[in-house]
Amino acid sequence: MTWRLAGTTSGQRGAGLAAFRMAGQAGAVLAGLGAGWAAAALAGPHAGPGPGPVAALVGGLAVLLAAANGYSKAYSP
Amino acid sequence: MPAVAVWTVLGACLGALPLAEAALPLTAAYAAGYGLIEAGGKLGLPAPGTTWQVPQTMVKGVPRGRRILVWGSVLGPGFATRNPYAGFGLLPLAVASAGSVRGAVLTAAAIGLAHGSGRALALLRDARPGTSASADPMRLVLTSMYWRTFDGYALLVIAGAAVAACAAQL
Repeated sequence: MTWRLAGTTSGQRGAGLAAFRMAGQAGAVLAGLGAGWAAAALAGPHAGPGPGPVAALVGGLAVLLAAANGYSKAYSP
Repeated sequence: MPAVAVWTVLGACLGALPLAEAALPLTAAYAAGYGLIEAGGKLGLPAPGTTWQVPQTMVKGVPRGRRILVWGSVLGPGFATRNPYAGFGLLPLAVASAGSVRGAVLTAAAIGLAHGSGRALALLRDARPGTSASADPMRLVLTSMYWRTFDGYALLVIAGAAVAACAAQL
């Protein structure tokens, strides 16, 4: 993806792209935190041993990641 | 089926061990570290795994049923083959984080089913004429880069959720 913004240097465009990437990464982490907070809030107080409903959310996300991971591997004959 | 069986056994073993308390912070650290590397497009620690791939002698010139058995047993679980993305290494940690034997077995079985199904769909996709790696190597490279970035962002989301889980434990 190349952006040609009038009056900007390649260094400025590179810095802008890096900032965009960092924002995306921070957004992904915040999305995970938000999902975990929401899971904890919906589940209410967790009684008993074990990590609880938020850990179950981690497990669910891992299942989705496993599906994507399996599909992403290209077959090399 | 082999994927579900292998992962279920792994889940039973990991669930029986007292790993949950240590596994969640490890999950968060692993996901955050590799997530930043992959999402940022950086070269860093290689994804954990083996570079072994199924030898051609095991599948060429053998009956169809045996070929399917080899592919299903090796590729479905995902352990005994090349894993280019770090997301696969997170999966045993996520199973260990489940906190109970039942939870670990259920999570592991679901992971095995998901990974095996995804792998099977990928094989069907790439078996179509003109879609194999040899047909368009450049497209394969680009697709691999996009999947690496996707894997990185997915790991970052899981890192956030794992941090929230650790905070919930406190």
